[in-house]
Amino acid sequence: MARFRRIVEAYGAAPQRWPKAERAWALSLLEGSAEARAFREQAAALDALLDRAQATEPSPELIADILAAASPSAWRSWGSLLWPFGPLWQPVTGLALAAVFGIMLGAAFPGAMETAELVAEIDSLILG
Amino acid sequence: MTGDVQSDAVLMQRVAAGDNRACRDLVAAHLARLVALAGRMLGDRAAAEDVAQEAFFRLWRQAGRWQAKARIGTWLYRVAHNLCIDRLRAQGKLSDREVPDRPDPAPGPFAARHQSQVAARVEAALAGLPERQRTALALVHFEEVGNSEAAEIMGVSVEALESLLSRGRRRLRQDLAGERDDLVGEI
Repeated sequence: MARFRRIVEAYGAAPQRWPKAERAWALSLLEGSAEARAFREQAAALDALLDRAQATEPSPELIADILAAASPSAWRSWGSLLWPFGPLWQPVTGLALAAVFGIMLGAAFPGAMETAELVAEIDSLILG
Repeated sequence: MTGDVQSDAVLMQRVAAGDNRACRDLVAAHLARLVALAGRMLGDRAAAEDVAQEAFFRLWRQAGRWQAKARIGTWLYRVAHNLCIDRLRAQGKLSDREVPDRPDPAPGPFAARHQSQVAARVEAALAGLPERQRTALALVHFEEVGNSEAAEIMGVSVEALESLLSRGRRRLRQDLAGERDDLVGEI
């Protein structure tokens, strides 16, 4: 009975809040003890008061902000879909360098090469 | 709280892979309870939402490194709890003493939102509890977190948790006893 009283003093009257491992035992004792039932009723009065204190729901703005912050994960996953062989910076850097060379060569020798040919030429120089 | 350790690990893999549905499911499952816990600990809705937001931001950042060692709900609660403690400590509102403070008779902004006078009085009594008792009650009574999980979140033993709960409930009975007639009439 002492342990039952400690359970109810701590966790209140509702069995779903009682320690899981002791719940069946406590319910069994409750069934057979008028003293236990009376003690539990006293705790139920406080539970009823506490249940009147309702928490407010999160604002829609908060929900939107949190979900928006999750999207960088999606961006990273799209990158890994495009280039699954390793860090995305490798092909991105290669393409960027190719573009820079292309612009420089194209400015130096306008019309000398078609752009696609120029990019292919630079790619073969950089990537081997 | 939903999920076991393994199923939560699978869910976090989906988050890391950019599965927006997984993110929405996690927000739906845990955000309201995080806001509620932080709200009871801090007594300030705006601050509670900030804490809940930061907890989820940290979860998203953790997604790619998540290990199957903890349930997501427990992890989120633990982060929110610690963020609240940091805020309370920074505001000088945290005391290691277990001497109860006098309850603030004026309902705080959180309590002021409730239309029910009963709810406001109960919220005021809760706000007057020492932080650890208030947190224990928030986790076990309001969020119905299991005792082992609540103890883990608070970094205490189950025995210490039960002591906090008992003392908190005893204090609330005393604080609300003087208004019981009014409260019973309203109930």
